[in-house]
Amino acid sequence: MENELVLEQINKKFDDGSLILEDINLRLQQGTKLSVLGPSGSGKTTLLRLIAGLENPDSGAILFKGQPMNDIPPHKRNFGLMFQEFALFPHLNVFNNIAFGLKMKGKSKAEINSHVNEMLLLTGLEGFQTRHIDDLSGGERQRVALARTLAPQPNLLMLDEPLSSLDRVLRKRLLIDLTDIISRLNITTIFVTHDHEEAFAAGNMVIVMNQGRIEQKGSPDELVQTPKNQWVKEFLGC
Amino acid sequence: MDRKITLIKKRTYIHPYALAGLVPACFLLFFYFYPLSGIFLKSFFQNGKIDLFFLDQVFASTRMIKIIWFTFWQAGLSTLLTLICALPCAFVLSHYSFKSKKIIKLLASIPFVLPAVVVAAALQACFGKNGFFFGVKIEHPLVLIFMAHVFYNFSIMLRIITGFWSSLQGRIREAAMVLGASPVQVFLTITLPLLKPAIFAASILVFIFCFSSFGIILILGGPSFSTIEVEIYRQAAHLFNLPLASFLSLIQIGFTFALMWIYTSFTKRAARFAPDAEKANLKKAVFLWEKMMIAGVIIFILLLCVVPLMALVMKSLVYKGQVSLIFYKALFENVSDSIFYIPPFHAIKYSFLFAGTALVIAVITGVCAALFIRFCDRKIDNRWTSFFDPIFMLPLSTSAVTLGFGIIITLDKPPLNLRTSIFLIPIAHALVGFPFVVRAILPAIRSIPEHLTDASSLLGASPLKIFRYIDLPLMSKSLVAAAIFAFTISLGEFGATIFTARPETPTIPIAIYRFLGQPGAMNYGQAMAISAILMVVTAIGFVVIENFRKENSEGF
Amino acid sequence: MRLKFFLIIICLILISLFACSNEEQNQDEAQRSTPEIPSITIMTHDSFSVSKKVVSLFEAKFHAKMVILKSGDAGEALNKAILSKNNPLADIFYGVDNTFLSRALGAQMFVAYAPSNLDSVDTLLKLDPENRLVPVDFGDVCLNYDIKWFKDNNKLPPAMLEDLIKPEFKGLTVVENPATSSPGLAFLLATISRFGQEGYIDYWQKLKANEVLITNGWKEAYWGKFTAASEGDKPIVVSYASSPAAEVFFSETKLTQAPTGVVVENGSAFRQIEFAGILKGSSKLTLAKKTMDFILSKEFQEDIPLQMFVFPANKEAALPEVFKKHARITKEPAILDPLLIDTKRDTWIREWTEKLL
Repeated sequence: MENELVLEQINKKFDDGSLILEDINLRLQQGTKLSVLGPSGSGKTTLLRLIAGLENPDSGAILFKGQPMNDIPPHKRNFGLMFQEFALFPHLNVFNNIAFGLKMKGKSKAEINSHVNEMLLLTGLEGFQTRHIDDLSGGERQRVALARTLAPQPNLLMLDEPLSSLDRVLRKRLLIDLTDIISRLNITTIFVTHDHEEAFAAGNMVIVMNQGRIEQKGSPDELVQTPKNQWVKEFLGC
Repeated sequence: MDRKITLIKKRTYIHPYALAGLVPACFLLFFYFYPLSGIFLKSFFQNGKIDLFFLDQVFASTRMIKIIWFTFWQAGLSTLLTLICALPCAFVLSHYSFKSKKIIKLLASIPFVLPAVVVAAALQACFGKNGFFFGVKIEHPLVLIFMAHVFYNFSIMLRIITGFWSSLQGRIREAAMVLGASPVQVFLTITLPLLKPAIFAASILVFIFCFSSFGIILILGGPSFSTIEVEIYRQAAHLFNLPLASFLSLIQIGFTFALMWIYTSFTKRAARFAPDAEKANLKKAVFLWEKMMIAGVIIFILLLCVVPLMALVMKSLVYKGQVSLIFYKALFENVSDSIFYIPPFHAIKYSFLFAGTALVIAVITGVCAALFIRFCDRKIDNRWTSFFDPIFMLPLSTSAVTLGFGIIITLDKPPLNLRTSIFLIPIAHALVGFPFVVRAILPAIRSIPEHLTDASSLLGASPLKIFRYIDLPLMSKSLVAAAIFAFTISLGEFGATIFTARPETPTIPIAIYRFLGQPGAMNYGQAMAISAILMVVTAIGFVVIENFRKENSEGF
Repeated sequence: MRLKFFLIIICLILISLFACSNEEQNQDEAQRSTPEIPSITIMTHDSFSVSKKVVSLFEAKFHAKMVILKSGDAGEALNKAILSKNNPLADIFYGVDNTFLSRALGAQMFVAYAPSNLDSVDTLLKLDPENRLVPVDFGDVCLNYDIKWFKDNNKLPPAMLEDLIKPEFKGLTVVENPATSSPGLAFLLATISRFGQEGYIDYWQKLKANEVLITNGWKEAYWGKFTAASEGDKPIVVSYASSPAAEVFFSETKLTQAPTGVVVENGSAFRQIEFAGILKGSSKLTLAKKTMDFILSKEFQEDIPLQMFVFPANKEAALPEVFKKHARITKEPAILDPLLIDTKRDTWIREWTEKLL
């Protein structure tokens, strides 16, 4: 099968010269569920932002389905990115938040209606259409954010620490819901987290990052059984 | 035995924050409601009976109707012009970072902290008879008034809109882009709707300022232009028609109150829509058109905000074609034939004295009011809040002229005879500044999470200790901002002071006004000199204080 | 930390300012009201003027300092005095003119006192039988015109009020706002006397159509717009019949003829009388009475013409040469019943303001 997403020698520096990302190479096949695991500051979020097009790498190339992405602005890439703080639109209600991507694509009213309702069903938010964002609980907001990201049927789904702003009980519950939804979808997914439990649950492939570099790549089992170095071993806690 | 126990009274615990509410309440009672009632009585009761003859003086008089209409439309046009000037500049400031940005932001903020009188003087220096600005002479009062209003209000509008706009630069915008919105679509569907409440709030605020504009219209307008505020003064001070002046005050209060009410409902909506404050993603200019736009904004701000002030300084230093300090020296003299009781330089000293005192009064009263409101919010009932909050804002909606007028007709006889007290002016100033202090402190106090205070009381801290160790440090930033407000408002206060000032204790705005009202180069020069001094001092103080605060969008 | 720093600075500034002002006040008080040197404060309008010589005379004679408190134009100053009558700002008020007499007396803020020289004052000037306010000077408010301008432009100067509305006088006149200026008010009264209560508004509207300029005060009109005294462009101004004398006096070159002329015939001049009185609540009654005596004394009265360019009330006071030659007093000023002025003044001002501004 063809590689869908390819990252070649991605490098990015801070303004002061220190590296955020160093020699990142990645090849993902279509439908892979990738977990990006690493402590804060390891460059995970920046990686997502580069793929989404919100920032540009200093060197290297990003290719999707063989097409170089460097010159394509974020709004033309049709990637989905679920932000860590959800970034829901405060002036729109739940329905309009979810419908946003579809509106931008120019879908008809009927299509939008049916898609949004589908999403509401999928994320367990029936009846929430007219609710205001500030009236929602943390868990509800997360689900709206997910629905919004999925609604326009993106080619690639990225989730930036989607559970980190929730409390532990909620996190456990939503992790199950989330992984369930993701596994049912046939999109390439990149799940970023600092929690290895989440990483292992959500992805069938895991990369571990540390200070801008990929320490190890592999399936969850591989990582646990054969950690490449001491750092990975300690980070995974085994 | 049991009976003894039940006879022991339960001590009712009155929270100190509840008691704190007494401070602003008494302050307003004595210095706001009491004078206001005096005005009310004066306007409706003559010689002990109700006398409404002046009603037709107002409503049958075409001149009065014209004045009321003029007040409205000049405020509206001024606001529109300010908006047109501020929006492009706000766009640049909220999107881009560039080298001179900090200085430009500072320069753009200075006009607002200047007293209205200084602004009038500066514009006269720039465009008046001995035109400075490349010989451009503008004599028509209306044009000068509009320019003064734009000059004056540009900075507050710029601040509010830029603050909001830059906080919209972060994740929300990115989320929209990732969801497929082109930059134009992002602007139309996300930025603009979120910005609208802020734009409206800023516009209403500027409208209110222009509506109650006094010093600028009095000095630049001449006899044929009058707003309600100016008319109140003229009727009281020149025509001695106190009932009419009182009635006009009531009209003014009514209108401003309504406008304030509209404003507060807009700020509520704006706050609701404010995304979580986050560090703005400012980019550097890349394309030529971006660079030109930034350059254009820089030049515009320099022209608008700096040139008139430079004109002021230059006019104060040039005598008969040569650079000279003669005007400044003259400020220290007390010629026996002078229009001043004491050397004009003393006006500077008294202005600062009053400003410092007013600051202390306003801040103490304001903090108490804010604590009280928050206490109502959290511990009692929201209805108390919605009752007290607007009451504490009342002085804001009452024109300074009305306040001064009310004070001199009520506070010069027992039970409260303060006419000769040196505290009268600071009190009047504190009254004008008090709502600003509350407005600046309340959001900060409200944002201190309740669980913080709960945690500390569980750790054994009494309410006073909580105030000292938790609340006070956490609101110190906005406390400093509030203090600046109170101080600069007092320094530049003109409308109330023109009624209440005694000749032994002039203030700088009074001095400027007196000087500008006399013909002759000496008087004009001295007006410019003392304006320049005040301008420099205010600017320096403002710069120093700005360094105390972090770059943050403050809710006004 | 920063907050504390800030607070400390504020406290320091406040303390030092209070200290300064206390020091100053002590100094000033020491200068003014130690047993050796009391002072008397005279509240007046901005056009008041007295020569240093006379002031020194006063101080030597009474061992007291004379402090002049200028408080705006005549109407403003009076209103200020009335508004602060419970806590008076001065001991004596100088400058109530006959048009505002009723307002001043109505406020009941003067102490009745007949100065020693009162007999030397023309009875016609004594409008207050109770001597709460005594006449101190008088002058005729009338139109002044620039002789040279009219010669250069081959035009005839005005001879009466009616001339001003003629087309050849379009845009040539500047007058003062009667609401704020006392000569302005006097001129308004002259027109009411001439054209009657029904007709005066019509006259003024024709004046407005003839592009008359209205300023807030006399100074602005005379020193700002009058061709003979400024770089303005109006050759006709409302001023005093004694202003030509001032022009001669202050002229840099010696003049035999006054450069300005006055229009005092045909009921176009209004006699303005200024009064002074002791304010109730003054703590220096004895000294105030002595000051009132001084104001009506020959020395002070003879000083008035060249300081304020009006005529002294004291008939015994000698007039300076330049006054005798160039200052005019009309034999037939415009007359209006004082009682009428009392009752209708505010209405007239309101009507005028309504139609003219």
